[in-house]
Amino acid sequence: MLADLKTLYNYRELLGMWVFREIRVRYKQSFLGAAWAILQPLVLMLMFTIVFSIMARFPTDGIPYPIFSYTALLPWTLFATSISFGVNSLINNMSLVTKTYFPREVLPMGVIGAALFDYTIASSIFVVMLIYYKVPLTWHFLWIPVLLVIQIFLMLGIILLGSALTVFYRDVRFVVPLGVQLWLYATPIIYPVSLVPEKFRTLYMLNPMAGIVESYRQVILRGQPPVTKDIALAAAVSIILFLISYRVFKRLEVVFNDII
Amino acid sequence: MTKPAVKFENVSKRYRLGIGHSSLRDLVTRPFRKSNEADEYKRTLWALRNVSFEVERGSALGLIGPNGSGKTTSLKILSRITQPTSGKVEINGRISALIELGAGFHPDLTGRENVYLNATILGMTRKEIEKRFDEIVAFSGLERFIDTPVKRYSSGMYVRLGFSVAAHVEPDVLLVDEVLAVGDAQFRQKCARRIEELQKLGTTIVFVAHNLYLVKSVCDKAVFLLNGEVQYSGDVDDAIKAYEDYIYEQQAKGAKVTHHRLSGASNEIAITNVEVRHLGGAVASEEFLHSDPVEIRVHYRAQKPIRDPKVVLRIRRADGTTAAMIRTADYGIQLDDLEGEGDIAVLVDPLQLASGAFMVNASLFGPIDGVPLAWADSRWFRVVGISPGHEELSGVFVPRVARAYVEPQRPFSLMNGNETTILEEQSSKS
Repeated sequence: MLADLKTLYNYRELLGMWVFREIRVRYKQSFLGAAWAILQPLVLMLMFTIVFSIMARFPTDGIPYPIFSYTALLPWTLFATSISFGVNSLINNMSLVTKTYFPREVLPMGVIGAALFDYTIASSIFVVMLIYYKVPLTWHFLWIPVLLVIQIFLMLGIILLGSALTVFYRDVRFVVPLGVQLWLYATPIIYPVSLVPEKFRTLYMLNPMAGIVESYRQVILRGQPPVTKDIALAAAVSIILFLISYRVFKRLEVVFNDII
Repeated sequence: MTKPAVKFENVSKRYRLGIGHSSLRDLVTRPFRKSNEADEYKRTLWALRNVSFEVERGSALGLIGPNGSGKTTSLKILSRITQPTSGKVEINGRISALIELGAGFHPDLTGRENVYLNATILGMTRKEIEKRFDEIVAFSGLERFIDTPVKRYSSGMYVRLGFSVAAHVEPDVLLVDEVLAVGDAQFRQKCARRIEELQKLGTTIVFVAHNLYLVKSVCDKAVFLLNGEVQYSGDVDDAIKAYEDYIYEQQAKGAKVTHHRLSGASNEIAITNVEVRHLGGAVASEEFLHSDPVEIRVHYRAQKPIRDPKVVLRIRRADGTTAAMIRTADYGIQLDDLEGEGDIAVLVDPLQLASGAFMVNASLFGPIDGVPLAWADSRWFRVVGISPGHEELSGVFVPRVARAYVEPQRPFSLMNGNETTILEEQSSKS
């Protein structure tokens, strides 16, 4: 594992180039370009607001629904785009995998890098919303980078495993969009965690995205530190998943070329 | 002794035929299972079997052999694209491959962006790329198009840019597949020169090619691979000879190896056999000296009389090079009309081919040029040199050397009548 990380470090420039490539390619020949990074969560937020705040009335613990959902959609969009692009990253670059050498994890990792770029852009509109809804700025905002790191481990865990499996079984490609949709409902995005029955709480929090999203609301909207149990569980699950996935990925990597 | 640049030690590579659903399961469960040897054998292909060789720093090694012999697999293992099933591979230094040019190009990105991306994949740092960028672009000759997405490039432009990047990585070890056959003649020459340049700079080269004569000009040593096993490893001349002997043997056995014997016929006439004989011989021979007089016999069977027939003999070398074209019409030879069955004999005296394996492709034309009425190949024959080792494999043609002498520079120029007359006189003497 350490040797793998060392090799990866030697290829850091390639990782940088790959992130750049992913960003360039994604918005090339699209009229709105990077504006899509904002539009995606924004449109979802508007839709959720209409459906779950105006048509149906979901409790939000007294927080205005648009910012309640956007706070969650920000990490969620990062998650969803990373997963759907990342899982296909190896097979989409088949020619590279079969014809050149470099540590293959660069490909899925690059996808996350590009998604982080989108996240940054989407954050700009979030800042505007924070000002509009007069959300006070607190020291607890400093938790956000920590949450981000946990989420990166989680995404790496899923993408490394998913992209490696896709090399062998193209089924994964069809499972992922469905899985991401289901995952949306297993995460407190359109509803608050308080709606989840107390006895299922620990089970529910085994989903690291639940802990991450809830912590976002905690530190931004409520101005409080994250619930220790939630964030610890999310971090533990994410890091363990990452370690296992990376191990499996490196193990399978040697045959990608022969199988893909 | 310094470490070799490349070292292959008992390298084997197994491929599975067809991908069953077992592949992933196999990998995960292999350590816990005993494999069934007999069953395994049926479903596997050994692309390489216990292959060992070494390439010394700064030298050039050629990998030769027929299709499917494991040359490309060796390169793939060397470039670390794929892993050997067993054995050890040692590479000292940075490696760059002219195998799949422009493999990392993304069609939506511009030439400039792709140069950066491709060069990074090949292991160059950003600083190095910036320093060499202009050079790379100039080499490709694509200055005007460098900010155009490569999807609008022609395939030739694409490959040129790919080569330019790969050739400027300044690797310690350069892997070259026979990709030099890209682009126009001018670009090909440029590529060959660049490889020479790198060679002079001390780059170690591993070269895979079907063109044995190219291998000979680039490499000092060669490995002849056959069905994934090393047949011969050593001096390039000997390795090529071993390979040529193999081709020749296979042909002699009538086996279809690298070249199929092709023939075609119309309803007017068919060529039933093409033979290369020693002059006066009654049967085809398999070995000639370059100084031998040779008779090429084209046996025909005509359904209808053919007026004003013409024969075209193309002598091909094992690497595909056309060594000579003999058109009877060009020699002002008027052949008799063909009727029934018979032979057309063409005498070539002397043969004047340099050593190598050759074959003759004969085509028959009637009064109307353009489409041959019939054509067929001879068996392979071999031309052996009189002094093996030296002039072997250099060129296709052994010209008759009339005279050679030393002419020292005179202190003051004085026209010497004798010498000029000698030169003029020496024209025909056999």
